[in-house]
Amino acid sequence: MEDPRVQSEEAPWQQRVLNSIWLLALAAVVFFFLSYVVWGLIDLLSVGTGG
Amino acid sequence: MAIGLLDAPYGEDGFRTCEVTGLRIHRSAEVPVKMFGLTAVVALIVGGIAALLVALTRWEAVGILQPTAFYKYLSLHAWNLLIFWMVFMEVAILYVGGPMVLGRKLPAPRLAKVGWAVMVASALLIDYAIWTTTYPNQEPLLTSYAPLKSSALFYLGVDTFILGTVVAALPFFACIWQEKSEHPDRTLPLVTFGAFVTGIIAVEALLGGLITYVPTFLWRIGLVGHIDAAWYRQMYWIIGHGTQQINLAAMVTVWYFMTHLTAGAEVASEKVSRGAFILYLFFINMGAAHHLMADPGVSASWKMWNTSYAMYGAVLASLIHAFAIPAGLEAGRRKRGLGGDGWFGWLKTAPWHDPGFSATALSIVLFGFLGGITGVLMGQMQLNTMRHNTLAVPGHFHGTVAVGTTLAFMGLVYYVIRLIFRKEWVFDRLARLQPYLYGFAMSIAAMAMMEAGILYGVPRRDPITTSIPGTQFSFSAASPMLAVLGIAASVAVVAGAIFVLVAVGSLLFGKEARMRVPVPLALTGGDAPVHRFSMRGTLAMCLFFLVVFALFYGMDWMWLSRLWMFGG
Amino acid sequence: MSSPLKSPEGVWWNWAVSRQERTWLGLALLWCVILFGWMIGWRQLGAQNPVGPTTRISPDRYRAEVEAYEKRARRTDQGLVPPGVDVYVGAQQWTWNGLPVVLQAGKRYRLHLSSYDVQHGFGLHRDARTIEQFNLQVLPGYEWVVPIDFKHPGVYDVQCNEFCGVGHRTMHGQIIVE
Repeated sequence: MEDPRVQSEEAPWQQRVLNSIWLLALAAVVFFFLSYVVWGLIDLLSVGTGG
Repeated sequence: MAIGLLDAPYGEDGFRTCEVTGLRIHRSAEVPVKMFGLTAVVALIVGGIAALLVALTRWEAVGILQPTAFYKYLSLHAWNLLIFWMVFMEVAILYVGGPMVLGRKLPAPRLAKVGWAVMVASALLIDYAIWTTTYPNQEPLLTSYAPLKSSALFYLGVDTFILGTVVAALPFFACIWQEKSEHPDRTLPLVTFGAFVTGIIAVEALLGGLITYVPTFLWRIGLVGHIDAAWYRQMYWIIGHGTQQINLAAMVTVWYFMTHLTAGAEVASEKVSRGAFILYLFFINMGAAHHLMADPGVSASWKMWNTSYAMYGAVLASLIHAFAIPAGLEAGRRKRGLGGDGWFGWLKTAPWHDPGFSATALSIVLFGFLGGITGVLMGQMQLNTMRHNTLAVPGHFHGTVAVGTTLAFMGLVYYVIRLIFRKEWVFDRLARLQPYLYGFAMSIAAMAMMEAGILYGVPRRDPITTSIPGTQFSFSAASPMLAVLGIAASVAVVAGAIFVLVAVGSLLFGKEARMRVPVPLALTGGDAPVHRFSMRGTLAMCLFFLVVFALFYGMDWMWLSRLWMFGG
Repeated sequence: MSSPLKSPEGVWWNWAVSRQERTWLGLALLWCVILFGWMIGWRQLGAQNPVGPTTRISPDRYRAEVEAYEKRARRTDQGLVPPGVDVYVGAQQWTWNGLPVVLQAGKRYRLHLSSYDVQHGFGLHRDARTIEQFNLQVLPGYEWVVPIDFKHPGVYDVQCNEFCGVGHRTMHGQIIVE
């Protein structure tokens, strides 16, 4: 029966991605910055001036 | 005495091996854990005293504080508990999850001490600024919304506190960097992975704090002319809610740690739990938008995308952990021969007399039902308008932070006392009772706030709502609920005092700890993979949770649909 | 051993996930889709949404607009009757300018909200009934126009619920719907 813990071939890309913590951290911070900060600021800056 | 508290039987290389966990612990990591942990408990005391006065004021029949004093103590309560108690504990958790779990030295330990000193000085400055606030300054509460002005020293203190925290976090990141450089093919242990995610979430929150509070400080001292209210709110809530998301990630990490240590939990699935932490990493801080649902300026699309943490990505993560942690406990205990009978024997035979376990277990259940459900409901863009700025909001976050995270951290402190300070608990019976008393009382208080806010719309941050000058209108119908709040919160403060009594008493007078390994940890249960053991009890509990969730969801939307029409 | 304190060894990505966990994952994902879909759907089809056009306006200019509106409105014992469908409310420490106002049930109005000074909270309650209330944020520098239509006649109380200084708890107003 296969022992799932045998250290065999190289880990699949999903495991390597989950292990690339600095890359993930960078991507997450960039994503947050764009989704929350930049988009929100665009919304605020495009509020037109009242008549 | 102080030096004795910071000492332990280290070898010449500065390491010792923990007899209970088997972890190799270096002095450079352990000393800061003690410093930050102790400071956190001091903050708990200050915030707890303020809590009692606030609760006895919101219980308007007692109304112990006048309005001006109420806002002062409310601000002290908020900063000392929501920020200082939490953040000092979380830095300690980083040092535990990083160097201690990895068996490494803490790099640049001096930075840890400098960070601690700056944080403590800043906390004192913030408390001093709040204490001495007089007109034209207003009390900051937690949010210090511009253009309402607070004292310049307050904003300065917040900026230096943030900087101190960043400095204190640096050695943790350096440690992770070293570990990954030395062992690039090794996967970090799950607790370390959780601590890393917590650290990055914290950095986002802290940077948001600097973006908010540096310009605001400059505005307050006249170097910046104008602070836009909408910009302030959007930026402030990055740290405002972000700090709560640090609490969430740290608490979940502590849950994995403590269920394993006290009751023999294992990781049901590494990839599922890690995937959930990554969802937190990417999406959790978007929840800052929860506070902007009833705001002009930001678009509906921005609101819905951010409040949902990107289509509920981070909520999915919480739901995953909600299953994975009890499942890991159930399967882990079954594997070790502690499964008991039937669906829930594993839970019935769990060490409920151990305050480290009971605090953790109560934290998981109460956080989920009280805090988690209300948080998602109030985060829905439209439902939020019924709850915004009512007592339902503090009701929610007392469910999450005051019940959930605080219980988890209390449980952790019990074990820090035993395993790191190496002292037995004094007043053993009180220690066993304390998590139940606190959890029960604080839950009632949170639910009373929720009811007052949901049923009657009682405003938050308002000391006298049962009579309003110049009108017949008032919130007097909520008086019984406010009385329940006052009584339950007072009992919770007593339970918090018991915790402090046991904690401090153990440090000062406790016998040297006997270092016995908790029974579950001593049983290994063989090599079979944990996922082969049944998790049916957990699945049943989670299904029940989902049903309760759906019921409240339906009710809330039904109530909203009966309101007048509004919105384009 | 899958201890949370130890590095998992080998190809842990390939380790099986129990059927119970997979069942839960599916249900959780479905629930998240429902949560998102319902909120989006209500935005398109529902009658209650905190949405409306926003413009930038200085507190002084907004104050002038409110005062001009008050001059055009008809004064009665109960309050102002707006000349058209625009209802102006100017929040100020510690009073609601433009209130009390008398409106008609079933008529669609445009509620204008802004502040002359600091942040305020427009907390509206129907007749001190349970549960019937909503809250909108009122910011200086921004004029928010929220369409509103009251189904039921009655007295609706406005209580400021954003801390705005020492008189905060006295900041009360009324909307009378006939």
